Amino acid sequence: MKREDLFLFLLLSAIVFVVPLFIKNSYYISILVFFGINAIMAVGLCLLLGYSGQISLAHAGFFGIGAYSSAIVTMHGLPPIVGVAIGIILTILVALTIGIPTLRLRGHYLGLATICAGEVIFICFKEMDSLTGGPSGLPDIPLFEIGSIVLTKPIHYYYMAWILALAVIYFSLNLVNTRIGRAVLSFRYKPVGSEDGALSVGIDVTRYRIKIFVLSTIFCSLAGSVYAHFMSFISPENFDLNFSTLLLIMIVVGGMGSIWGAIWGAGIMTYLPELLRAFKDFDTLIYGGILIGILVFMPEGLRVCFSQSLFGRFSITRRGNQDQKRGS
Amino acid sequence: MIQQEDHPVGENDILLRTHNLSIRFGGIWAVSELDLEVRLGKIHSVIGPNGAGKTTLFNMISGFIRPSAGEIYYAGHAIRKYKPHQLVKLGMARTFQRLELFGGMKVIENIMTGFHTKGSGGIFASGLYSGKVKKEEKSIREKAMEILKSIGLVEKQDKLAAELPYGEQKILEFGRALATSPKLLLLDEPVAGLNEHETLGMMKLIEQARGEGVTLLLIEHDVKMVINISDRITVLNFGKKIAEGTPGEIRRHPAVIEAYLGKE
Repeated sequence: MKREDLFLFLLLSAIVFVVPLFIKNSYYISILVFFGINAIMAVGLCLLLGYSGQISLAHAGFFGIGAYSSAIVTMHGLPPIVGVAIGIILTILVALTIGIPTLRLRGHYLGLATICAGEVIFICFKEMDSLTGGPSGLPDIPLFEIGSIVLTKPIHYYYMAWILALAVIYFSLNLVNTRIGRAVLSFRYKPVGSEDGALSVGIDVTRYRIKIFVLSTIFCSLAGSVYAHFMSFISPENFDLNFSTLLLIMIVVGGMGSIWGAIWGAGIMTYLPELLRAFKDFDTLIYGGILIGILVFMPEGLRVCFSQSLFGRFSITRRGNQDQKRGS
Repeated sequence: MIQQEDHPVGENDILLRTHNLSIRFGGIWAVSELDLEVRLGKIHSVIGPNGAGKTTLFNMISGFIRPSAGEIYYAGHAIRKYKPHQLVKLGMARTFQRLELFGGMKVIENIMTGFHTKGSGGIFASGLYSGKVKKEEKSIREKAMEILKSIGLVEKQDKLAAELPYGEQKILEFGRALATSPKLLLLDEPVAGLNEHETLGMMKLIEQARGEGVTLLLIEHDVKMVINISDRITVLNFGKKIAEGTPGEIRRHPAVIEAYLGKE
């Protein structure tokens, strides 16, 4: 991990543990739980899209697989940790089934293929009535428990979501600064990376595409497990294409190509709808306007605007373009 | 006997051999029935007019495209069906005519990525930053620094590759290929677009690499440079070999003068 990343990570950890001292209102704590859950997924998607340059519109499906696995397993009386494990195993299997054929595709084609894959998972949730409760969903999901500790209050789930989020962030910040991280970044589209260049130094691009895809879906599955136990009710609508799109918006708004950008994006996209409730019927209009404004005026994401001096890596993309043109 | 057929390379000093190598794009044979032998420790150049099939030949040897017919033997392996990343593990590296650098990475990270196959830490070990990964990262960084020293880009180590001037990008790509510790290094027009000073620098690096035991196969348009540096030259035209020999022989070869040198 780089020094500035480590500093920010420690800062974030401190904030996570200090915040509950000041915020007691369970409504705000709940929003922060959702923020944590979304952050886990956004960081995963950031590794996929921001680093390896692959798009996925199927990630809500993997969020759902985690959630349904946890729900179904615990409703059959097994311990929640088993549900989490089964969710991860199922996610890996489904991710490999989807990833191996579709990750040969690039750009728009990959986008379309993953929309279809996400839709297939969504339809499974809807149609496998006996298991998933069909369109009406699964109510009364048991609380999460480890050994004799039962998580009952939102604040418990706050700690659960954020400890997991911190673990995922720590993992990802390490990963991107190692051999594996460089390999994953290397085959990103030009001029940031080069697939031919990656192949020429012995990187098995196809394998890394699949590996990073699977890793990011595992994060989604973990988030799904937390979500199911926290909400105690899930239905297929939580895991549709809209949610996959929202995840993408998070990392685009926050700033693609940076783990911190993904966290910013997750925070803003979680809080913004709540903030706009005050505007009643106009909330969607204002919400859309803000998003367009961010994309037009801050195309590199909010993170870059807030911390331009600390990080410079991906903000050069456009400058890089010019160099490349001059070069050839 | 069959054994010998499978591994015709290795008994002697031939590192790379193509046999009857051909590829067709649509109705055109871009390379046809090419037999080529590259000897260990030599600098072998392939020249020819534009469209002669030189880069196509490189792409076939390095596994980027699969030949329509024929076979390539490299260090005891028949490699026609090998993928590029597998060939790197066998000690083959290459550069590109149009640079394929990782523009969004720092100069040193580009070189470090060149050491990819030397590392072994997996995703989980890397994410947890285990002691082994930590050690590996440190040693990769040190080795990358050595390469930067040898190619003279130490002061630029923290710049992004995309920010370097063209000449230095070419050198960086050469350094990245060296990082894979190649036995055979394919250089696709290493001095194209470089000024005289930069060309001399690149030639020095190429000779330095040969001094360290690397065999080099290069494509070049700069005939003066090729004649100066090469041990052996193959001339292609319209996908066929029209001449082969030492620089002296090639200079006087009538078919070469007609097809290529005569126009200079």
